[in-house]
Amino acid sequence: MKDFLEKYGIRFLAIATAIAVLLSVLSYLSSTSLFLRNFSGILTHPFQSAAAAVESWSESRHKRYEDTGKLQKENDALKHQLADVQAKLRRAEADSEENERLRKLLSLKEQRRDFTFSAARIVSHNTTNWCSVFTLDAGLSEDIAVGDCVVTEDGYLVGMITEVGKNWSSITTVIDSGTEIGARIFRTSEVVMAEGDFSLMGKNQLKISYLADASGFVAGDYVVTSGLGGYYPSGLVIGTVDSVRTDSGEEFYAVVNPLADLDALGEVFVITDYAVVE
Amino acid sequence: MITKRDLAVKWTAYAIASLLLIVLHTFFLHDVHIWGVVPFLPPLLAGCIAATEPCKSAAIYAIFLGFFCDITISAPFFGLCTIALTAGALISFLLAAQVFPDTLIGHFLASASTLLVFSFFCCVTLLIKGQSLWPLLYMCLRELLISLLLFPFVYPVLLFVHKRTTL
Repeated sequence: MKDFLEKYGIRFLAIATAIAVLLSVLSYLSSTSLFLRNFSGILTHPFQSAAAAVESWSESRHKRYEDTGKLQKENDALKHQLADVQAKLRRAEADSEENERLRKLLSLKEQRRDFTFSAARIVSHNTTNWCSVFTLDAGLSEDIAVGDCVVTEDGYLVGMITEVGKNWSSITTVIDSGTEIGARIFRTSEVVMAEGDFSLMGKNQLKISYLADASGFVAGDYVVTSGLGGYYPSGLVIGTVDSVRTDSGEEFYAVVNPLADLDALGEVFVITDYAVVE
Repeated sequence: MITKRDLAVKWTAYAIASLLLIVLHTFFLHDVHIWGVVPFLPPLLAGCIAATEPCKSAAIYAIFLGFFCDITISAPFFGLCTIALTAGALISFLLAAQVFPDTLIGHFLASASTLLVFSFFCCVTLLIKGQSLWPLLYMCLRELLISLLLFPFVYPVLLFVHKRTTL
């Protein structure tokens, strides 16, 4: 038995290692996904879409029979929220007009952000417990490319495209342990690095690490993309600061709650092209 | 004497059974979180087969299964499933042959070993990427316990194929 394992075990492990290394190298060298992975994506695409459609239908049926009392309360709360938002909108419109007048006065260039979106449906959520990756039903055919940002209908950042096939693509979400995004604290304009952490991934959170002190952060502070380096557009909302913690007592990190509800996402929008003038 | 035809029938049956289990798992359990984790099926398949089949066959099955997983699911690195499932199958085979009894319990423990080896590879990968050890170990434990809940569904199917195709 031992001889057999020595004779064949090492051989099989060597074959497996060679395949693994080959796959890794090919994946690294390829700008799109590997041929076989692309092919498997195309083959599984109809089944995943069918499963997603069944799931969506069953969820909508379930929601229809939800407690009407709960819906009534939610409706009342939303009416209050709407009134607040309308008041803020009126103020914002007045501010916007004033802003335009002042810009003209100072001859400042107008700030604008032009995004080109491609709508897509999430057909598969996490397939393992070790990473946070979703599969979309849109790919190269919809001009989606590796590195494109994915946002919700409200504009909250979901993640980035890390793999793309003919009619499918994969998003690595903002909470994945491999994610690193140049970010900015909206209130203070402090530039930071937001990154996924495995211990926070299960709680749908990410962190801002290497903080010298905790005083510059307030719970509820908005964290947005910095746009530095030109990889991602600036100003996409990642989430809000939940708390500031420390491991060693000297170094602090802030825990961030993403505003995109990653567990309940159905439809998302991929930013396939953008122009930011600031 | 097992003919080439018998072997072909046997491994085609295993392939169909595995594919069926993976499809059922993907359709019905991919979004079921128990204790914060999704039960993970492939190591159980490799472990069950390593416990019942010869080493060479189990290793080849694990290589194919790993390769299939690598091209269909997202793991911490591309190629991890191939190497982790093959190593897991070999270790399970060794344990099943020399340590564990040739009973249901033994096969259960062999499957648990494959799951542990798979989790070990994931842990090492993420440790190298700078993640902390304790959350990874905690995930290993949870994934092991929750994935083993699938054993009562997976084992009878594979045992059925084994009994029907082995002389």
